[in-house]
Amino acid sequence: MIGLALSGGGSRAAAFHLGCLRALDDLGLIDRIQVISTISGGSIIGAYFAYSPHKSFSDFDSDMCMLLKKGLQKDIVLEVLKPKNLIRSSMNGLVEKFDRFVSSILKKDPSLLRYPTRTDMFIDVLNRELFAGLKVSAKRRNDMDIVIGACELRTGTAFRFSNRRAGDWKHGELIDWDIDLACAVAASAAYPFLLPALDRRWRFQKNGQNTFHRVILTDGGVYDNLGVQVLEPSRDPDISLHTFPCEYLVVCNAGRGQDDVSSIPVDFVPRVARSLEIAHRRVQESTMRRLHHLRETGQIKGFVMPYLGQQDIKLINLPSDFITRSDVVNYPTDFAPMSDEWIRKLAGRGEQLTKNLIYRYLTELL
Amino acid sequence: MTTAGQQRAIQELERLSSIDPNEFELIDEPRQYENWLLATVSIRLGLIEQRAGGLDLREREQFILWIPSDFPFNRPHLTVSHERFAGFPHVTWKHSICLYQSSIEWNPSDGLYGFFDRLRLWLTRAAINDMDPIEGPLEPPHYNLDSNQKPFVIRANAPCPPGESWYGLAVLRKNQNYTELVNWMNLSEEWQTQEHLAFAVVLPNPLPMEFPTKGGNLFRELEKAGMDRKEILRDLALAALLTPEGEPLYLVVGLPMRRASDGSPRQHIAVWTVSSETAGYLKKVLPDESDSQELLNIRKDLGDAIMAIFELSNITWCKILEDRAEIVVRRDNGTPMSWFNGKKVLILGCGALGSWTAEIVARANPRQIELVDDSLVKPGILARQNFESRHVGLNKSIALADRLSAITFGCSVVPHPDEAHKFLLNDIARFQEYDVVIDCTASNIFQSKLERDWTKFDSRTPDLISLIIDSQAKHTLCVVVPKNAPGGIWNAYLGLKLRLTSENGLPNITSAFYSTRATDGMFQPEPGCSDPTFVGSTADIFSSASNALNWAISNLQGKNPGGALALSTPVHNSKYASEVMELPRFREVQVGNYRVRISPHIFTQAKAWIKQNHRSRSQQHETGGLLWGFWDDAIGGIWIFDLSGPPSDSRHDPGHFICGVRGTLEEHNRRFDQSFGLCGFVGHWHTHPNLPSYQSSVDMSSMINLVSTVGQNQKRSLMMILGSVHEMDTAGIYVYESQPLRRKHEMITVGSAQFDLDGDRT
Repeated sequence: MIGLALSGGGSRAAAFHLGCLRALDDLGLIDRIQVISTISGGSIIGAYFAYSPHKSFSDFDSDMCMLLKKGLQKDIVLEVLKPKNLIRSSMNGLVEKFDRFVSSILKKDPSLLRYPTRTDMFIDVLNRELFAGLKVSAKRRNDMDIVIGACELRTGTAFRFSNRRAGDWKHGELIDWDIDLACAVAASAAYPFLLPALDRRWRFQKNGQNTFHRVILTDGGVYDNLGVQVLEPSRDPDISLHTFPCEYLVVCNAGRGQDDVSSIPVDFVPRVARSLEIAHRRVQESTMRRLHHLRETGQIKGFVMPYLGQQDIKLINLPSDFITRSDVVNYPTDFAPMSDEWIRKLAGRGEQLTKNLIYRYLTELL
Repeated sequence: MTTAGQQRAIQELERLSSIDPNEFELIDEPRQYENWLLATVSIRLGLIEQRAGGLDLREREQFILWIPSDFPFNRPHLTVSHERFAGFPHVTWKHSICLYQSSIEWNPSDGLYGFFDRLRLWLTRAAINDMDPIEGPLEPPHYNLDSNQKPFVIRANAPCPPGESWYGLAVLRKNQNYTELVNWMNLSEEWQTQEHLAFAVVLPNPLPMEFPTKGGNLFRELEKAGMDRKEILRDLALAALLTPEGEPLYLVVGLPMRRASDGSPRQHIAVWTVSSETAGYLKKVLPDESDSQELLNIRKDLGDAIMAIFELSNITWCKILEDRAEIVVRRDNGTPMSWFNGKKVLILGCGALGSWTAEIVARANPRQIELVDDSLVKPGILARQNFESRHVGLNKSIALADRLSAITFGCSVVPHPDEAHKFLLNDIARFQEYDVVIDCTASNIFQSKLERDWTKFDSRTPDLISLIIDSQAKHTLCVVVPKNAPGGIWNAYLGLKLRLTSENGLPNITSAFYSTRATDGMFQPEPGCSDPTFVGSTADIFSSASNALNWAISNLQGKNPGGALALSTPVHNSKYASEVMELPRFREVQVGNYRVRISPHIFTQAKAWIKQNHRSRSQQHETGGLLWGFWDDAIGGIWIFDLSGPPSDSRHDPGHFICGVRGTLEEHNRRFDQSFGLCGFVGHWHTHPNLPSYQSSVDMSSMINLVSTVGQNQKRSLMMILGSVHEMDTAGIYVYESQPLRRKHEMITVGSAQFDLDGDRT
C-alpha cells in the first residue's frame, strides 16, 4: 500500500506538489496510490486530484496550472466585497460582539457562531472554481481514500475529514460527516494569519452518546504540517478515527527548511510567522526521524520525502537542468497569481526531487 | 551437623505449621541422617477431586522430606513410607515422588513454600490421573544401573513398532567413553566378523515402570511380557556367544514404554549387562549337534544353575543416552539452522569463515557435507580456525573432514583438496545436486571466474550463499543467490555494492569494504613470505559466520529468496548495525560476446523521461540521455545500473536527438568516486518515437562524439535505443568497440540485440 502525504504551504505547496504528482505519473506510480493525506495548500491540489476521477492526468495538470496562474486571492476579495456578503458579515460581526459582551457579564461562553466569515466565502470560491458542491463521499480517482487535516483550536487536536468519516479523538465522530468538500478543504487551509477559523456547531458521537460541540477549525498545518501521521502504522484504530497504515510513503514537503539570514523578522507579523515556521520545521525534523525509525524497524518498507527546502548538497545523480533550492525557496505561500516561470521552477523541483529520491530509495516500486 | 540452609528449612517448616497446624503439621522434630535433614509432615488434602486411574488419596497424607545440606540451592527429596503410590507415574522405587522434572523448575527463592505448593499441585493432578497426558512424552522406566559399565548411546531407531515382538542383532560401535548402538540386523542377515554385535529382543508388552532388581522378579515380569524362562536362557546364551572373551555380556531389550514428544508410542531400549564370567558359562549352555545325551544333560544342568543364580542375584542395566531421532527432540529444532537437517551441502573454502561455517552446518545434522580447499593447515591459523595441532601440514578440506566426522553421526563428510573453481567446472552436472552451496572463499577471483562461466551451468544452479568479512573482521556482507538465478555470486555482490554506495545508509560498512580503508590492517603473518591477511579472532569470525548463516537460511526459507545482509559486529563504543537488502534482479540480454545486465527500473526511468519530454516538448521530439554502469571485460559483462536524462547541450528535434556532452566527464568522475569505482559512463540512450529501435548513422556519430569526451571509456561504449513497432515498445542495444588499427575515434559495432520491453527478445 502506497500512501501520499501533501504538506501545507499555500500556493508554493500546490505548485511543488503538482511536480511531485507529475513525477509519480511519469513513473507509473500514480495509480498505485491508495490513500492521500493532505494539509492546507496540499489539500487544495490533493482534493482536486482525488475528486476528479474522470480527468486524465494531463487535464488535471492543465487545470492546476490555470488555477495557480489565476490565483485565489482576487476571487476571495471579490467574494468578500459582494454587497450581500458585506452586510451579512458586518451584521454577524456586530451581533457576535454583542453576544460576547453579554456572555462576559453573565460569565458564560458566547453562544453565537462567527458566521459567515472570509473563510466561509473561501468555501464559496472553492466550490465555484474547483469542487462544484461535491461532498466528501463523492467518487474519487481509483477509489483512493483521502484524509483532509485541519486543527481544532478549542481542544488543540487534529480534526480530520475523510471520505469515510470525520472528527477528532476528543469530540468523537461527526454524525453528519458527509459535508461539502470545499468546507473541509477551506478548514484545512484557513491559515490563521490570513483567514479566520471555521466556526461550527456539529453533532458528534462518542462512546455511544450523541453530543453537540462547537468546533473552531483552522489550518491543519498548525497541528501536523506534513499530514503523515494518519499513514503511519501502529496507530490504534480504537483511539484514532483515521488510520491508514501504509507500506510505502511518499511525503511531499513544501517547507522552506532553514532560512538564510537575509530577512530581519522584528515586526509582529514576520516575527510570529517566523516563529511558527521554526516550530513547523522542528516538528518536521522529528517526523523525519520517526519515519527513519519506522523504516529501520521494518514497520514500513520504505519512504521518500521530496522536500522543497532540502539542502541540495546531499543529493546525487541530479539532472543537468536541476532546479536548486535557492531558485524557489523564497516563493511566498499566498495564493497570488503565479507566473509560468514560477510554476515551472516550483513544479520542476518537486518533480526532480521526487524522481531522484525514488530512483535512489524506492527502486523496488519501479 | 545442621547447615544454615537446613536451619532455614526448619524455620520455614515451623512457619508453615504455625499458620494452620490442621492444614500442615510437622509430625516430629526434624532429625539428621548423614548429610540430610529428615522431617515428617502431614498435609490435609480434604475433599479432592478423584478420577478413574488417579492416585487414591486420603484426607490427610504423610510425607518424609529429605532436605539436602545445600538447601535451598538444591531441592529437597520427598518420599512416603507406604507403598500405596507404587507404580504411579513419577513415583519411583515405590516410595519416592518426583515433583520436578528438572532442576530448572526449582526456584531456590521460593524455598519450602514453593515446594509444598508444587506438592499440592502434583497431588491434585495425580488424583485426576493427569500426570502423563496421553499427548505428552512419557517418563522412561527406572532400573538399577551398573556404574562400572560405559553408557550406551542409542542412535538407531527401534527395529519394530511398539507392541510387536522382534529378535535380532544390535550393531554396536565401541568408543572410548561409550558404546553406540548404530543399527539393527535380522538374524538371517550376514554380518562381518569384525562387527561388534549384541543379541536384541523386543517384547510386545511393557514391564513395570521400575524394573525388578532381583533376577527372579525380573523373570516373572518377563514371563508376563511374553518371554518364558527357556527363551530367556536361550537369548542370554546367544548374547554370550556374540560377546568377546573377557567382556561383559549385553542383551538389548526393547519395551513399549516410551512416547515421543507428540505423544505417539515408542520403544524404550534397555541394555541388560552380565559379567564376563557368567557370560563365559552361558556360552556353554547352548547345545551342539554333536553333543552326546550326557553332555546335553550337563548343559541343561548348567543352564538351570545359572538361572538359579540369576534368580537371587541383582540384575543390572547399562546407562542409556538416547540419540534416536524418533525420541530425541533436536535442540536446534525450529531454528534457521535446522533447515540443514538431511541436506547435502557444499562448502567452498575451509579457511576462517569456511571452517566455522562447516562446523555450524555439521552440527545441524546434514546428510552430506563436501568440503573444497586446496591449501594446507599452518600453525598460525589455529588462532582463528577450528583445526587441531595434529592437523598441521594436512590439506584443509581433509583436516576439516576429520574434525567434522568426529562431530556428526550419519553424515557423510567428503573432502576435496581442490581449487574451488576447478572443482565446480570439473563436473558441471554435480553443481545442481547440492541443496545449498556456501562460498567462504572470500576470493574475488573465484567469484568473477564463476560469473564468467555461469552460463555453462545452463540455469541449473543450487541455492548459493556467500559471505565475506572486512580487513578488521568487524563487518560482514552476505548474499543469497536463489537456485537457477541468471547471475551468480559476483553479480549479487555488485548489486549489493550498488545499493550500499548509492543509499549510503551504512557508511561504516561501505567504507570498510570499498574505500581505500578496505585494506587497512591487512598484514603478513610471516613477514616477507606470506600472503597478507585480515586481523580477526575466532570470536569475530564465529560471530560473523553464525549471524550471516542464520539470516541466509531464513532468507532461503522465505517466499522470495535472494538478497543481501550487511552487518557490523557490536564492539566497545560502537552501535550494532545491520540491514537486509533486496538486490536488483537484472534483466540479461546477450549482445555479441557480452552479457548485458540491465537494472529493471532503467526502462521505467526512460519512460519517465519520455513522458516529461512529451510534456515539455512534443510527442514527436526525440529525447535521450546517458547510461551508467559497470563494464567488465574479464567476465564479458556490462551492467547498466542507472539512466539519466539529456546533458544540457543536447539537441531535441522531431525525428532527431543528439546527445550532448557537457558535464558528462564530470558526472562520470563523480559517480565513479561515489560508487567506489562501480558505476561510470557506459553509453547513451535515446528514443525513436513510433519507429523501430535500430541504429542510424546519426546515432553512430553522436556516440563517437560522446565517447571521445569521456576519455576513460573511449575504447568501448553501448547504445540503447527505445522505439516501437506495431504499438509494441522495443529496445535495441548496440555495443561498440574502437578499431585499433584505424583512427582513434572510429568505432565498430561488435554486437547488437533487439527485444521488446515486455520481456521477449525479438
